[in-house]
Amino acid sequence: MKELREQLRRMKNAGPWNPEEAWVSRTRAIFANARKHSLPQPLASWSERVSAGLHIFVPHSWITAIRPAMSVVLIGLLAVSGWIASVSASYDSVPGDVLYNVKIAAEKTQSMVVAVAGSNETKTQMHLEFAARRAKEVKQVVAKKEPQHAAVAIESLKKSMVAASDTMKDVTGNPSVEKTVALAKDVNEKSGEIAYTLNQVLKDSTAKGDAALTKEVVEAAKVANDTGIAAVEAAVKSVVQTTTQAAGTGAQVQEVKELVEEKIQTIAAEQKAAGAAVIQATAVGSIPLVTSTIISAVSTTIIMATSTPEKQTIEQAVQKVSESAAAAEGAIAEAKNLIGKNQLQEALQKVKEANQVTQETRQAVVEVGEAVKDKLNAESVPVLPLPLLAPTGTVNIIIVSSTPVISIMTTTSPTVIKDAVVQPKR
Amino acid sequence: MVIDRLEEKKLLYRVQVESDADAFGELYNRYNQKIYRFVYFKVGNRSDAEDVASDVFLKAWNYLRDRDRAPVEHFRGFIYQVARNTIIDWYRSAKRNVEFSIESAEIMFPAAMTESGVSSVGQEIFTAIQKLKHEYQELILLRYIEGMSIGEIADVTGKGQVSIRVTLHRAMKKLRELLDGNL
Repeated sequence: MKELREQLRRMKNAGPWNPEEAWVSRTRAIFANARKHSLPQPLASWSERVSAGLHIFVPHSWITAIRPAMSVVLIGLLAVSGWIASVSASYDSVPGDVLYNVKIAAEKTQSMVVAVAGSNETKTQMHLEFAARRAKEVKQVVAKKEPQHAAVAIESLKKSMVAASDTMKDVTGNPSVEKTVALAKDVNEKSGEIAYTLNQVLKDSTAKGDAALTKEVVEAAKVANDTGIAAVEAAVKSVVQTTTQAAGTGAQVQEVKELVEEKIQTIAAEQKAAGAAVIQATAVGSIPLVTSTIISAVSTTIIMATSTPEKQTIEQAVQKVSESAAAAEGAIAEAKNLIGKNQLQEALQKVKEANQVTQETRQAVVEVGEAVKDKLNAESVPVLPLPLLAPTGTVNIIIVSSTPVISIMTTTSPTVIKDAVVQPKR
Repeated sequence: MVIDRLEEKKLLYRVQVESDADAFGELYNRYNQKIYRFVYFKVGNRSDAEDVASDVFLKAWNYLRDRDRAPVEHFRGFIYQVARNTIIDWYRSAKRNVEFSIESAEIMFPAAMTESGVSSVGQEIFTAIQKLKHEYQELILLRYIEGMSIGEIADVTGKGQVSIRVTLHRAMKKLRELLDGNL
């Protein structure tokens, strides 16, 4: 039988049962002509293509088997397409909106994908983007008079800023100085924008009347400022590693130097805005005497208390604010001096000190406001936050008394306040 | 093998969906010898084999282009079925006076083995195959002369693999008996 099989196999290669080449060519030519003379077929529709593809490429048994599951797949596809539409629609949502959870879920998905497949630069940029969105959302909900929804966004903003700062540290190890510096500039700029947005929130009247919200926003702004500082520090470290500070003329060193200088200016401006002189009152109804020196001549808010119980609390706060302001100004001056000598790392250290103090000053002013409000138990007496962009040369005097009346006087001469006599209204 | 089958599926798709003549030409190149041999073993002579085989491919081309017809999933099974049907039509034509049953009859063909280049053993085997049932002829041809696997034969004939193995065994046994009787 084996031999027979072998003989059968050999029959394939020789015999009249194999076509002649002439016939093969002739036949090919015959039906090529038949093809030419055939009527042209209309183009297949999309459904015909899909149907033909399914029949040809998918085994029939599979089609039979999966037909029941196809309905489930179609439902899933509809759900996904609905999800995609929801994500698009949710982009402008804010805390408190129905679609806000969809927006956050989409961001979490994006975060997971980037965590696996993205570079550290990409991760940093993504966290900053999320933080910027949170800042914008806080501004929007406060403008809508819905401050109760801001807490969620603020908390998320702080987390995003911390995450950006952490991934920024991972980039610092990158041997490419150019990349590190470029990213640091980007992070610093975006952090600054976030801080600016938060400061805008503080100006809103809704925020002004909500001490808890103000405190939260000030904390978030601090985190944003810290992230910017961290970015500048990363840039300084990467440059110092590759060039000597004594040389200090490389383009990259110059770029980072300008970054540090810009940071000094920013901190200085914040410090001036946060500076406050608090007038120590002596007694209820008495004419308050100014006993503390006005720290900043640019813009100052003076809070005067006219009753004894709150006076002590305010006194402590004033003391703290005064000391902090002085320390900050000193650090800024030293930083300017060091940057002039191209001592970038030392200058940055001073900038960090100034930033720390400035943030503490802002926190202290918030605490003063809370203390006054609590003690006076006068919800109709808003404690005005420090004007961050107040015109230079003006001094606002706010008089807080046990009766819900506020007097605001404005003077252009800071030195006059020392001797001014302010008569509280009753 | 898998790539080859996929390539064939792509050609089939192009013919059915786009009426691509070049794709059909490629399929013709792949199958013209196989179909010719299949037809030759049925009709027994070159002249008729050439006519029938040409007809097979023309019918296949017209069928595949017609979108009103059911789509074809496998070209190989399709072309062999067209060949079978065309052979039946050929036998039913007026000049054939033989009653024909594709399922069961043993059909005797006049041996026309005068061409040179064919060994006497080959001739004897061919003559013996002509004496077998059509079903046996097909299986022996597809399995041992074309070299198809049992699975491929199942695709072509539409029968189960177990059935094919059993039938093939019987076919070979019958062929052996015929050859032993002649030798």
